[in-house]
Amino acid sequence: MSDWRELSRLPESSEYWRALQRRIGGAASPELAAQRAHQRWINRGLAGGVLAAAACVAALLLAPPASSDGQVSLEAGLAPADPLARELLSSPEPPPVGGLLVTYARLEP
Amino acid sequence: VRLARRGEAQAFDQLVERYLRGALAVALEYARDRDEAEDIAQDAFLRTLRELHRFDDRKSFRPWFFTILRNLGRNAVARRGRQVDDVAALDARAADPAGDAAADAELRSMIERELASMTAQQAASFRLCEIEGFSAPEAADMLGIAPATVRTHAHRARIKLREMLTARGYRSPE
Repeated sequence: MSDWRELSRLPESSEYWRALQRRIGGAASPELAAQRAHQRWINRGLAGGVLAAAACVAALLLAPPASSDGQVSLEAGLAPADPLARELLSSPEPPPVGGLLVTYARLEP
Repeated sequence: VRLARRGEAQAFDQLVERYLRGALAVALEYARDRDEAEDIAQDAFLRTLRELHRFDDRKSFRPWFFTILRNLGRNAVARRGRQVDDVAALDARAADPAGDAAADAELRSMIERELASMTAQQAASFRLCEIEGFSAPEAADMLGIAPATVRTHAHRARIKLREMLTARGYRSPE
């Protein structure tokens, strides 16, 4: 023996390696098929997600524009029915005491 | 690896082709015979395929794969309660007709016994680098140790074998 390589336990025959590779490939085929199915399911899910997102975008684009006084309407909707409280809450600045007194006087019968 | 993860048979076949020789070489370290080594290697590829979704693409595939393979090899040994210094098994291995017919059976048997007397990593480092021709980094990934450790193990094993062969009047291979 002139070379350590002569002690190799690995077969030289290329046919042996091909056969072993085919055997492993055959044993793996059910798992590979399952993974392909899983991948298709993910792809369909992704496609559905993209379609849903596109539908949302389209709905936003096609919806009628909001009215310019939308903000005011909202505030008016949220304001209490009490005219005094409404004036306190909806004024951009603190209302003068005199103005509040006038409002209060109007409420009195 | 990404394509194999999606179930592409051709990509999986390429992985098998690339790592099969190393897989069998490592599996033989744990197996009684080549049939068992083939089973361990096959199980390693199937387990790898099932676990591919856990694999981090930023890391190297080879050490990951061989970690799975070694774990399966250890499981096989544990199941069997294998005796490493089982002389009968070593003799049978040395007389394996699939080995190089030109090699002297007695000499092979002596070398196998000497390798069996070494630590598992020392013997495996020597086998993978000196006998099977893998590089130290490849063997390191296959055994899960550092390349420098592989070189050290292989070097020490070579010295031991040379001493043993010289003491018995044989000329050591290069």
